[in-house]
Amino acid sequence: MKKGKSKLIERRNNVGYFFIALWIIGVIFFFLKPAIQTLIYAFSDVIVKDNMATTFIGLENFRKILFEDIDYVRDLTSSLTDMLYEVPIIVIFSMFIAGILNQEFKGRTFARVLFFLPVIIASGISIEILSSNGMSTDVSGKDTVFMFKTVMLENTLAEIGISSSLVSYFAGLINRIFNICWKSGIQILLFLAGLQTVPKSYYEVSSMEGATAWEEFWKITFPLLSPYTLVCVVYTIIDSFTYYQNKIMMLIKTSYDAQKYGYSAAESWLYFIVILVILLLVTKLIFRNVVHIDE
Amino acid sequence: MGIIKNYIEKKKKGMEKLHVRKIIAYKVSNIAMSVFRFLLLLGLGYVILYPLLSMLSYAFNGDYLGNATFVWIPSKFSLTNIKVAITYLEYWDSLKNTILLATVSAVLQIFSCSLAGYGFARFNFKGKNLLFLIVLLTIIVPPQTYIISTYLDFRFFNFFGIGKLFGFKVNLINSFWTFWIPSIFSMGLRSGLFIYIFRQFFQGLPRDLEDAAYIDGCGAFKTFLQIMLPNAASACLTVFLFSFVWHWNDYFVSNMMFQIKNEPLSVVMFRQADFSRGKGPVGIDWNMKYMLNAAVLLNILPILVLYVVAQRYFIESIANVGIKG
Repeated sequence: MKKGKSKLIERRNNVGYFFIALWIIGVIFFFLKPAIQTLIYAFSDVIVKDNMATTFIGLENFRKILFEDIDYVRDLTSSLTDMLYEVPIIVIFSMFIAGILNQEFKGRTFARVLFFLPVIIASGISIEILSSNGMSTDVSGKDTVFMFKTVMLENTLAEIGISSSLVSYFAGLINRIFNICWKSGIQILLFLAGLQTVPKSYYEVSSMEGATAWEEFWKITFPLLSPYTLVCVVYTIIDSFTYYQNKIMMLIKTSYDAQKYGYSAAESWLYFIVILVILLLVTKLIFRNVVHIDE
Repeated sequence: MGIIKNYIEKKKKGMEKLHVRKIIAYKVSNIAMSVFRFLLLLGLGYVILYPLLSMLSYAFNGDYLGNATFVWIPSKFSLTNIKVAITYLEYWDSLKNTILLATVSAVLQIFSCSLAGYGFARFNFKGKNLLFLIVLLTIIVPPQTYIISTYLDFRFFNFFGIGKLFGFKVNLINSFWTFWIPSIFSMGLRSGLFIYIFRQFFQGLPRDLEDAAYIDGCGAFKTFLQIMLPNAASACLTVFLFSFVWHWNDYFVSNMMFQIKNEPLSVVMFRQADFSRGKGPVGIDWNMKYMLNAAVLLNILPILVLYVVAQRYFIESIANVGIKG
């Protein structure tokens, strides 16, 4: 009797294969096969004729990238440091803005519409042209200066006597305010969704117990938002890595356009491995501290 | 008695005073909060709106020499920029291409990703976790890594090797099928993310719904189509909106797949932007900044309209779906 039942369940579970059948075909032909093929290219010298003729050359492409190419390692480190700097800021900023947009006030809908505008525009070529509207040449006519820059403020703060490292950090923050605003649309959306899942009764109880807003944030909101924070961090990292104006992405495209297929495949695989390692580290670090209340 | 009464009165008055003070403090902090909030949102709103406002200002400006006394409102209003941009973008054709590409892809993605998402959410088949790991991997791996191979697949397309048996292959480059075929097999633009969204959503639905259908003798597919999919309308809408917008804005993959004809707006626009860097045909009066801004306006106007009409769904969408780590 029991065996028959488990067989029935198994049969029902196997129906799942039919549901994901399309995906399995897709993943084999549009993901695994291309991925393996580019992996082969990465270890080969590729010559384009009617078909791709490959000759195996081992680690030669990788050796060239790491030890001969002047741009790759430098650009990789610069985009890594950029990411280390920007991801925490974007996540904190969007959490803060989501907190504000979650409050009740007049014109909230309008404010929300405004802050999600980047979601629909920022992913395209349009924003490239649009943000160049803010550029202007400086007095010497040599450098282009972005309009939301803070030369004056930097000098003032330095004169007051605030330590230079703090000033430069602060100025860097303000100089990036445009980028940050335009890159955190989805993240604000995610946090806003997260805030809606926090039960109102928690706040009622805590305010009855006399908790301040500060305590409420750290003891209730922040822990309960942690699953969303994880998603946000991962999304932001992927977004900044796969952004096509990213220096490495440009490099890959350049080698591709020059028909150095093997070389560009090696470049992208190396890049992907770096992304994967970073994502694994970050996820592991955050996941330990994620709080799950339901279930 | 009198003393006690007096004492109570006094205490009450004191309490009232305290109360009033607290209320005042509360009100003041409330006002301070709204002033702070207003200023913050105003400032950041300006940062967000700045490029859009300057776009409008450039697009309708007919005064190419630049007039320092006018900053926002053009001194000479003209539609020339828009007209020129329409010509060079081949606007109506590219717009048609973009809409066709984005709409069909989005609908196909809803279909295939909801199927896969439901499969992952409700059935415990063998190897499920490993397969779902691959779904997550498809989200992480940028298409740039494997686009070369995909490109060649479409260049010499033989229906996954079936055509090879008959010595048959077609060149699908420059056709919409380069987007539609992956979408059918839920490997289109950011399909991994959509599968994830659907899986989260279906996991959140109560099982009673399906159990009732099963008892009534519905098969798994019939249950899915008639019970689950209608209940997933909000998730479908989310996926549609995001898929549509991302297809609209996509430039990298489209630029690879469309080279001669059927180009969507983003690709045409990128070429025009390249022209402005000095690679363009000689002798065309492409007054760079003004025309480019007009082109951008033409490009984002349709999705801007869609956004304003559907903004409620955009904003509520993610909340309904309940993405979580």
